[in-house]
Amino acid sequence: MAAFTVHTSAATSLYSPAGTAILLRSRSRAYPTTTTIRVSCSKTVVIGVAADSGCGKSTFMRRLTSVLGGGAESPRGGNPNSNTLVSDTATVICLDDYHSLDRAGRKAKGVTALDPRAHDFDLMYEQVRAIKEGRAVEKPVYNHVTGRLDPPELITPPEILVIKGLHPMYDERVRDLLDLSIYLDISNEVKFKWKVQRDMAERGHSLENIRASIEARKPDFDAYIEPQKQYADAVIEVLPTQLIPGPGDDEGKVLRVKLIMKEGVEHFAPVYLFDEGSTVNWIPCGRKLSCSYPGIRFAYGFGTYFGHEVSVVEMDGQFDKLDELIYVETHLSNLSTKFYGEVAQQMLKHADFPGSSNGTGLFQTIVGLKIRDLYEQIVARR
Amino acid sequence: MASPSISCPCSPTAVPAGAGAGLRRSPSSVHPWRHHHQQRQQQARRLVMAAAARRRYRGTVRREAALAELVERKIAEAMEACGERGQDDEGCHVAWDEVEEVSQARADLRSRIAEAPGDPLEPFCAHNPSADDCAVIYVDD
Repeated sequence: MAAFTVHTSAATSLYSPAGTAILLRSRSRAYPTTTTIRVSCSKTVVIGVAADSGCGKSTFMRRLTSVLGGGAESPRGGNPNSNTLVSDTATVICLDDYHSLDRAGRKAKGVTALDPRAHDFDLMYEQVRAIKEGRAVEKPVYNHVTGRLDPPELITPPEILVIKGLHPMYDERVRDLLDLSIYLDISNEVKFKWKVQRDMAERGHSLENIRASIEARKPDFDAYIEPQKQYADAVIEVLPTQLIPGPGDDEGKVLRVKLIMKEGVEHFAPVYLFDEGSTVNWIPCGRKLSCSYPGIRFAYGFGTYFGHEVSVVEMDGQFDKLDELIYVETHLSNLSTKFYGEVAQQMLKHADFPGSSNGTGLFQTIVGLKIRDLYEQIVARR
Repeated sequence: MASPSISCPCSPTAVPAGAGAGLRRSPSSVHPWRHHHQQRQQQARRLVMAAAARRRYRGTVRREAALAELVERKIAEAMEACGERGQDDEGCHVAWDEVEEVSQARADLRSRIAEAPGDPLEPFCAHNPSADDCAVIYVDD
């Protein structure tokens, strides 16, 4: 006999005005039963983001929710350990919630969190599809403090659903649900520098430990996470800078960042520099614009990436002043901005965020604008 | 001591709440206005001290402590596991993966606390003020 749990939080009621149906999960998962109230006809736009940065409010998510309008907060009144972020237009779900094995289970089986065996892709597919079709779901919650799965929380279909985690593109069915997919590709040197920044204040951590941690996760990462790159519509690749010789920049602040964009993706027009389809090498610093060391270098070109035609915009160096930002924005095209200077404005608005002075902030902001543009195109088409 | 023409603000009934029971009338400062001034100063200092001590929900403090301890413990476990069984063993990989998971959770909590004007538990505690985790405590930063 199946038992039902119904969550009625302050934020949502069973008869919500948007007209959503609620999928109630039975205890024996093999027999999901649906109680339909009303089904909404407008479909949710689903974006997948592959990133190895846990379930917190990452910089990319902050920039993205800022571009889409409204600050993102944990669901009101719900589980305080929720990994979900809700804003006016978007909901960000962390895919760690679909762990089929909790921390103890993974240890017993000898699998890392990177291993697909630790994830319930069937549930992920069912629920993402349900949300996309306008039905609310009871999504499990993975508690990172206890390492266990907490009781589920109710997720009502937003206008834009972002699924973020290690495996958004791993399962083919889930991949087909994504309207746009993004992969954040951090090179090992940069990953090491960032983790040092993140962990050095903690007791117990040392450079060797951080190095060992990255090395130990590398086999599974290379086997299960990296292959998703080929499916991504846009890849943000972060590499060490080529402008500073030697080990140089130890904090990983000056970076070489590439935005690799697949051609032929619906509602997604790649960004270009000056002349679409050409190859450009551009150093904006000179007579009109003065930059401080180590300056800025842009490149634009096209090529193939895992067998797909792509356009690549690359930035190496660091922004120092507002002038530089605006100057660069003036020369980029297909940015999907709503007004001149919007990229610079977004970057300035969050000048305190990491990456605000280099390509990571720039391309994350641009990808955010592209997502907004994609959403508006899809909505306009209905 | 001359009897004051105005009621002395340091009499027990006139002492404002929060000025503290530790306020004693020192024999040297005889004038009422000087006393009043000293009281005001002490009050101001107390307010400053209260502002410097941050207001937190108990749940957040608990989480911070739990994660910090967890990070240390997991690192020790990982070093032990890899030392015993070697770097290529899956037990070693899982152990370091756990370290990564809790380190990331710790960093996320730290940035959540730093970024928001309110406490990370604000959305939860607004709806459940009587929860144990929502007791307000003061911590020195």
